[in-house]
Amino acid sequence: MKNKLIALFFGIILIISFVCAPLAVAAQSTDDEHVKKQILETIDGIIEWKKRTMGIASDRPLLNNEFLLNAGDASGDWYPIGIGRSGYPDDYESYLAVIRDVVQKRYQTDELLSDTKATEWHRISLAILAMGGDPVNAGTDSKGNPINLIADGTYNRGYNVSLGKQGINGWIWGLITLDSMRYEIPDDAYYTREDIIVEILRNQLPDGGFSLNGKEADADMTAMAIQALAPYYNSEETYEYKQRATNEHVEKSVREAVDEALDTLSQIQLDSGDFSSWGIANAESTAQVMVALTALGINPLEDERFIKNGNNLLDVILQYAMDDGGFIHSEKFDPENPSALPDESNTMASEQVLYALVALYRYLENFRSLYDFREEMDSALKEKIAELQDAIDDIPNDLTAADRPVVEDLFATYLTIPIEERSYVFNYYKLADAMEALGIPNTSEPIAPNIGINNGGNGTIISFFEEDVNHDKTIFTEADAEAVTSLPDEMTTEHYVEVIKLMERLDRAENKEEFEHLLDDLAAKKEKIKEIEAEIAAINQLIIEHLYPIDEIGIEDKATVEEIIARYEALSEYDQQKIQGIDDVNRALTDINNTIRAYYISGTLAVIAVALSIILVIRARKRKFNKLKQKMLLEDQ
Amino acid sequence: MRKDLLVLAFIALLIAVIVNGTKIQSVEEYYLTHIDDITEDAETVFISIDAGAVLDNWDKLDPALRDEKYVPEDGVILEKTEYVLRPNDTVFDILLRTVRHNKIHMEYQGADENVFGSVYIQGINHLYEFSCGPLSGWMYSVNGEYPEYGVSRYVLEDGDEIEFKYTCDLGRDIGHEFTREEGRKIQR
Repeated sequence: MKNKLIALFFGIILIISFVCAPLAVAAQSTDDEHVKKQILETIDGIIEWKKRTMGIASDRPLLNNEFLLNAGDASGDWYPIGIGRSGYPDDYESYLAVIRDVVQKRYQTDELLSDTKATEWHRISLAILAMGGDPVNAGTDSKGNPINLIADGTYNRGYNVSLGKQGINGWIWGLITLDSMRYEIPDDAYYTREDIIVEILRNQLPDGGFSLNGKEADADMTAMAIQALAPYYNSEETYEYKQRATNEHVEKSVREAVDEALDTLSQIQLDSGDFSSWGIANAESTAQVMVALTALGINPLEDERFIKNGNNLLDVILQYAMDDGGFIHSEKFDPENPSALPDESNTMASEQVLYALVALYRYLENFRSLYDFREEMDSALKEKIAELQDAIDDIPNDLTAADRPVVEDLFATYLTIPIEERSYVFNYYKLADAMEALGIPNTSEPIAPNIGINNGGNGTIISFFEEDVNHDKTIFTEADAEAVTSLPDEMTTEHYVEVIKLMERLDRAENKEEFEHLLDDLAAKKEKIKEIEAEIAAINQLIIEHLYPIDEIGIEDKATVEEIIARYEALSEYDQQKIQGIDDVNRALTDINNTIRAYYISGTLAVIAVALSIILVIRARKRKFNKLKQKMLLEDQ
Repeated sequence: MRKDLLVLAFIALLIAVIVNGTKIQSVEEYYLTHIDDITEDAETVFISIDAGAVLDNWDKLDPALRDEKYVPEDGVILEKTEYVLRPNDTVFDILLRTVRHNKIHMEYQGADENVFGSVYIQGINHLYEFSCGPLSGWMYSVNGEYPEYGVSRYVLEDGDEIEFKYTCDLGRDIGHEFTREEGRKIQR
């Protein structure tokens, strides 16, 4: 009887759970659908806002000629990264063409992209990948060799200057970039992945977080460190190193370090759910934490550690949204960042929220994480990982010896997943814990030496939107041809972006032969623009070398000054704006001319004075003579 | 006779004019060529450029820069110098004039090329950000206060004193803590 009751009880429980489970799932999924819709609308709103601030019509690309002028620098590259990772329709091809050209140009200089900042390589590599390009093949350098931004900016950077010259950011972004396509590191490379991982770990603070200045955890830096370390969270390998802040000898796995960092983030999260750094709650800090959580497969909408007073990270971020679609930096005026106003959408806050939302959407859609640009796994593997995760979740908390075969079985399944994909088994740590509890040896291979599998390839673009990204446009149209012929004969640097864009488009077009004749014209125009750029640089150099100190400019400099002015005037109005110190040149010329005029005036006056003096003398003599004559006349009389 | 005296006086006048200088200028010309003259009622500001902090962090300095050419013996790249303040001059305008007039190397990033929305000073006298370790770079103060925002956004007033200082420790070595925004924006 008792047993029957128990059986009945369990039966009811079973029924309830069978009936309710799908209900819960259904509720969950409509909830998710609602959130996803909201994310897409917000993403769209940010891009629309950005377009409006630049005076771009809604149906035109954000990455227009004006925007492309900033390709390859910090103010330009982050929007394309956000856009590319969401597959938002835009002019990817043009961005790619221009950024590649910018890279090639900067590779002509001694410092390449930068003497000090390796993050230049990282940001540009990520932007190229986001636009569907290949940073391993980013053009050719001055010697005609292919430019490999990954080698130069990450594993071989040390041959030139330390990856960490700019501090912890160099290591963090170096690792993110290295894993963006799970790049293989050659044997003769300067750094291994382990080297970079250890450098990041070494910078962990006693409070578990990370920061730029090495004192206490900063939300942004802690989040970024997690983003970099995420692919190694499932590695059982431990690293031995000396902690920088304490000088203590430490042995730790990446998982232990990341868990500490997560605890710290949860602790420094404000009651409102916000993150702040240096005392002011702001959108960007929260955005970085969102990216970090999604990289680890932690649901930012549901994980209790990051929900404060009912507010999850998405709730928090959306509080910074403005009616115009953009986002503010902070609700309070931040004296540290006076260009960001509490009531005005801010470009940096908006771009970071953009890619944080993209990261969240990718997580919810089970796409690869924000900075993983590889092709999606095939559906069989995705399915296998999903099933494994479900099974791991079912491992009971109170383990008994009876669970052993199940756990062993799950581990065997885990080992069949390629090493470079194991970071996507987000709850592997539960399996590892269970194995430890049961005394099952963990024989999983270390991740760092085995994660590198690619030597190149284009970044993958997946669209969240119905409109597909047409980034492999291979037809050169009549309209494109028209655009070429309507370029003026007289080139200025203003046409740089347009020329580069059209050249790339034509070069890649299937019907290239049809318009081959235009290629020479475009090449000539590009060459002309290069000449003008050189001329601008030469004039600027001439001014700096010959004009100062300006007080010492004299008549002997007249020829130089006139030459500068003549060359300046030969430039188009647009290019003239790129000449610096033309005021000083005009001033020098005026000064010289005034001096010359003064000489002429002095000369003329002197001539007059001399002439008058001569007249005076002559007259005096005449008078003397007349007097003498008169005297003689008188005497005669 | 009287006529002669008149002529004599005229000659004397001519000589006087020549001796006194014949640089006769139109108003525009005068304004253009004397814009930076420091007169009694001119509004002026002061500027100095100092890399003294590097001297205490010599081991961190890029070996290629360990030369008096880049870091003078006393650290002073430019002693306190007075400049005329033109209307609406920003710290950047004065710095630009200063380095040009004194032939000091300077590299900057234009306001539209970075995330500050302001000109960003990358290097002065070949000392760049990170030239002296990961926490190094140029900072500026006006009347002893560190304004926390871009050089081309700070409009100066009569008598302001600008100091450009190189830090090797996020400002702590020159008496001012570097901030989050600066750090974050510079690094990206």
